[in-house]
Amino acid sequence: MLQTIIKKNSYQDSVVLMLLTSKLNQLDEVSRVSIMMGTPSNIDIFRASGFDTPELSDASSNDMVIMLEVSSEDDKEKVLSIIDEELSSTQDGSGEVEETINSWAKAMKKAPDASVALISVPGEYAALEIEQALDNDLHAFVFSDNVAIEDERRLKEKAHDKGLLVMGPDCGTGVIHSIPLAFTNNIRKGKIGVIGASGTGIQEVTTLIHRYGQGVTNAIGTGGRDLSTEVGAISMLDSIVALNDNPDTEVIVVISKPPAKEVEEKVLNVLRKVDKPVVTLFLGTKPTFHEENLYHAYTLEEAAQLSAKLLSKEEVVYTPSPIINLENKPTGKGIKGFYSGGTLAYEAAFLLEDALGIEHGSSPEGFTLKTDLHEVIDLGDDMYTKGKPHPMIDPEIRINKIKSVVEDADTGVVVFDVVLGYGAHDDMASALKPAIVEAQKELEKQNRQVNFVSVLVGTDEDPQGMDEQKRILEEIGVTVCENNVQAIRTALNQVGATLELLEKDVKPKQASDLEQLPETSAKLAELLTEDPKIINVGLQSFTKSIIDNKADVVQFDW
Amino acid sequence: MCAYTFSSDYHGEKVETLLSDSSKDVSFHSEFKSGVNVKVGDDLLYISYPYFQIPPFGLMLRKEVMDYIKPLFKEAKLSLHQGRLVIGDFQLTLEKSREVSTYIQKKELKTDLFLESLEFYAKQSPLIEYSLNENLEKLVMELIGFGQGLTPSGDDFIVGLLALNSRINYLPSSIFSVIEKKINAKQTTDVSIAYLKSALEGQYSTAVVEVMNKLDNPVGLSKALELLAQTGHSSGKDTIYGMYYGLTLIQK
Repeated sequence: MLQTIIKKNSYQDSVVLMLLTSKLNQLDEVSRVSIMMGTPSNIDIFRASGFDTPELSDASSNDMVIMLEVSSEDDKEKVLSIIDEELSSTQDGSGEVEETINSWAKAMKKAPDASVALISVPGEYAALEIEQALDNDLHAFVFSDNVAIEDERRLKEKAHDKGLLVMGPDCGTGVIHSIPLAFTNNIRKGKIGVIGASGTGIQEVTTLIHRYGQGVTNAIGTGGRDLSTEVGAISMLDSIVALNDNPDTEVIVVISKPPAKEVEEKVLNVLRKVDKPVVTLFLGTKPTFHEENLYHAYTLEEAAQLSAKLLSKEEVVYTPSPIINLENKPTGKGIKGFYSGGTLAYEAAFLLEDALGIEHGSSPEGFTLKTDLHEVIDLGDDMYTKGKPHPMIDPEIRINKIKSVVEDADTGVVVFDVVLGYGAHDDMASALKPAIVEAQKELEKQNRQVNFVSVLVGTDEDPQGMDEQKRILEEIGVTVCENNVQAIRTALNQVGATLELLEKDVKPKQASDLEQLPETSAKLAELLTEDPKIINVGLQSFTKSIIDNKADVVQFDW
Repeated sequence: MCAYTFSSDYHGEKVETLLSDSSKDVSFHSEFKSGVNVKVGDDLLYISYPYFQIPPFGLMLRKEVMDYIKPLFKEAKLSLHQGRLVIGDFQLTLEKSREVSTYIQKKELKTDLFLESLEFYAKQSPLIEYSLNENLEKLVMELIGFGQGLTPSGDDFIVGLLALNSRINYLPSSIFSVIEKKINAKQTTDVSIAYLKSALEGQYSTAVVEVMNKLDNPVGLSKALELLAQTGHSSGKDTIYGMYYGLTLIQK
């Protein structure tokens, strides 16, 4: 017997309709089923295929029509209850999502061979999700921040014991076997492995390596607190050992803010036992020598350059990009750095401190550097975002800063970054352009000259189009620099100062008291050598970089 | 007075106009996991948390905000006030929201390189099993409201045909009145009607706009197509099939 079920004004995701159809088809009681919206065209199809009942005339375009052929009245009731159950359990779908995955069990069923969980849920829930990921034998890439440090330590220890890795919390950047995750650029595959406790630090170094013609297959973010005394560099140490064992890595770069002394010793102790050439960068410390096969960089540019030179077997000497001579001298003497990248701001600050003889760490809250004349601000700091989107996405905070230059007669040079890549604004250059043009006009009225210098972080493979971003900035008279060091040195030159970069001798490598390095777990080795299969827990937009790069991702509808 | 105000993060190009006429009736239309449809006059407004693409009549909020206000839509009184959507004690504004481009610009097509890339996805459309009427007007008439899904496959196909036409004119003008008639007679779902109406004005989802913008850029195109193809169960593929079909018409 034919049964027509009309669900009035029932809007179900196409996927739900397909799933329901196939489920009903599998029932013995049902010999035929068809589910469609009751549009005139579809009603014609129903009729043409022999599903013709009087009730059909009652259906309208916004009704869901279920046509069934069942053998008895009893069967009908049973089928109806199954339909109701199915529809109430899948009251979801926007017409846009695939099957809804809202539990770890479903996620693991959908992707039994998943290797990484990408977690971006609010911090208060993140610890629980990291734990779940580890329990399911997944590495965790944790974009979320505000995870308690005790939780971080406990989870990293748990991961270590299971041969897994926790990248983060607060890990904004990472490349896993050439798949960029979160806020990351498209980087050429290559033989340099990067481990970093800083987001934009990794972005600056990896994009420069790309521009030098080399590549990075793995860039592992550890999160900013990994090298704290409490956490003890658990993720950093596991990553160093894994990259040392990884057959596709020939040079290792390690980036971090200066860690606590005992943690630094612990890390160096492992690095001195590593066979492969290593470049370290403890941001803000100015090394005076290299060790054999263990090079100590001072700037992000140097770290990138030395690693590229090590790989191409060139002489391992740092040659900073040249200072750009600007025609018009500024009327003010102050340098203002308005950064969206925290590490870039930090680097700018210590380079200015170095060149100008400013005491480190004397700046008030909210400023990475602040003197009477100069200032460097990380506008991604919570103090400035106050719940608004990050300045890499939302230009508003920087627009206001740029405009404020008009009010400050001391300003001579404005330095700012434009960071490209996944997660970043589609067209930051155009977004900042009106503010710069407006400021320039106002300055001209005041007979003042302020030079705008920018650093562009990105590659020619980034979705925003690096050349176009450069062109937009140059068109309005912004000096676009290759890297942050060049931008700062150019700015310093404008105000009559110079940064002294040291030539470093290579000393014999200090001894490590480790007899041998620990072994890399099979899981960790696999992470670095195979395309990750990712379960994305949180921000749906993070699936874009994964899909663009043709890796597998399952969206966990958290 | 409204106690709480939220701003959306992104919105399509039709949203500002949709919210501007306070005299319009506003009512709850339908609910999905990631969002709700609200009826504004005769049009739909789609409010959701971010996904790959934003329709011209779509407004995107952060998930936390969406989760918070979603239950209210069914119960609270809805209205418009000074360009804001009032939901009981809450107001949804566009104050901090950014408008995304949902309009397809007319631009010459330089090459026909892309036909193959489109074919790959077009062939995955369920419509590929049907032989399409060679008379374009009849084809459109048959396809409106035809097939599976909340936006029936046939409608998605027509959106694809129209999207290509928004980039480069090739459809006879008679087609548009056929579509309008079908829409006015409500021969397909409200959701489809919202997409078709927008398409007639040159407005499309961001994923469709992206494909049209990248149509003669083989590198960007593959990524844009992949994104569109992932939309819905077959919606994206049906749309690509429509674009593909349109291109073959141009080549003839």
